[in-house]
Amino acid sequence: MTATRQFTLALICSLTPHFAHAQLAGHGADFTGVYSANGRENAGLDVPVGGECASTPDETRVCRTRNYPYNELGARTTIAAVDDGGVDCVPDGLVRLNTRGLYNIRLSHRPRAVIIEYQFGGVVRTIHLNRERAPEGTAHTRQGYSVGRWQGDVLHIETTHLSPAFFAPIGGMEAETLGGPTSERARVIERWWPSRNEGAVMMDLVVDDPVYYEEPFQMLRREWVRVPTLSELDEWDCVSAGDILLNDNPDLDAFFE
Amino acid sequence: MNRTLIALSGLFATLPMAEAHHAAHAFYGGPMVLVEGTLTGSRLMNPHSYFRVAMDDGTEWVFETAPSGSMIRNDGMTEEDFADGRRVAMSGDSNREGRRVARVRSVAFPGESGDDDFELYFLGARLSDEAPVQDIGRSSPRCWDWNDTSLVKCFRVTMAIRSQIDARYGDEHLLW
Repeated sequence: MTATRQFTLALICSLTPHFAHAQLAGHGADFTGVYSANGRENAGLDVPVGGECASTPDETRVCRTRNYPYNELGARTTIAAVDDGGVDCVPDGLVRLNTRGLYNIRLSHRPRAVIIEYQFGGVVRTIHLNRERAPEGTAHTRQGYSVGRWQGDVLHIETTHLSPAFFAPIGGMEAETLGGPTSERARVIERWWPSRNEGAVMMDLVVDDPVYYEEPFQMLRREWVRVPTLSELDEWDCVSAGDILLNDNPDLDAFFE
Repeated sequence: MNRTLIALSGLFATLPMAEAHHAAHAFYGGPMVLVEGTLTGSRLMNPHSYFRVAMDDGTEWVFETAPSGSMIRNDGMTEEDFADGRRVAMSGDSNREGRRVARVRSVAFPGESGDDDFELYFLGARLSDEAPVQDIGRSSPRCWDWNDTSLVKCFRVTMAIRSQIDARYGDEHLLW
């Protein structure tokens, strides 16, 4: 990592959370519960919630992704929006998974790990608290390998060993492309800490990928609000809808049978 | 609800939707539509839910929700709410390439007393401060308690409310 890149990452990570006890060592907060996103992503950050959208004269709505710090390769690495595997139940990569604000998550604690479960995709992440880095030979996967440490009530997570993926920005996508790429060299830094709003948890997500970006950047800040009436996540029973969305003559009878 | 209307509308063009599972702006982004007809199919499923609506002239539309079926259920709706044969008026952003597929913003069901009142749902749309949603909200008891994180917002629209909104906004609101 270059000095500049390291400085940028340190700067981003120093900005949040910004209360004093975050710097103290400790066992961490109790995040146990099911949470729903509050729908005000990136509030308080100098980060647009979504892309810039405008209507053209023919009433077509066009949106552009906000400007991530793409390098030359990143700027020309795209995936066509119509090739988005998500509609056919292809699982998300880690970054995109964390942008899924419509779906609940569940947080729980183990003696040497924090478990983050996502309703979307039925993904279960293990945040290893007893390791400083991924073991030798760890395979690259969609969710990678995550290690965590507590500083006071702040859980710092670093994830590596990710497989290549794309993420779609919150609230606005380009008209023809899905969004930003991430490579096998990507690192994802998360911080989770108790919100000032009782029962809620804040989350920051920073992406550092020298293959596609000039510098690390903060992708997301989200407040997760505890749903006291829920203790479990609904089962994920994804059904592909590509046929009825993308075919000119979809078999509606079969789909709605 | 005695008219069938497919029209452009700028009124809701700036309402932000909850973020889409797939590239919604690429797939939708066409004109706003209001389709009145009969439900002929529904699937509350993940990652999105789908409804099939047959207009009286036989034209069929498919509406997709932004929220997953699970989230819709969490907010109080079930498959029974979308039973085949129910009359319905759905509005949404249509497919930009002209396919008869749209992303749902609102769903209006006739109430118990026929056309005189009805229930109006917003599935996944974050309601802005703009009229007429807020006009309805101020004057209509909610169908159930919902909060900012609820993806399904429900209003009971009486004939009096409907008349007020229609008089004020004409056809532009595209809600029923």
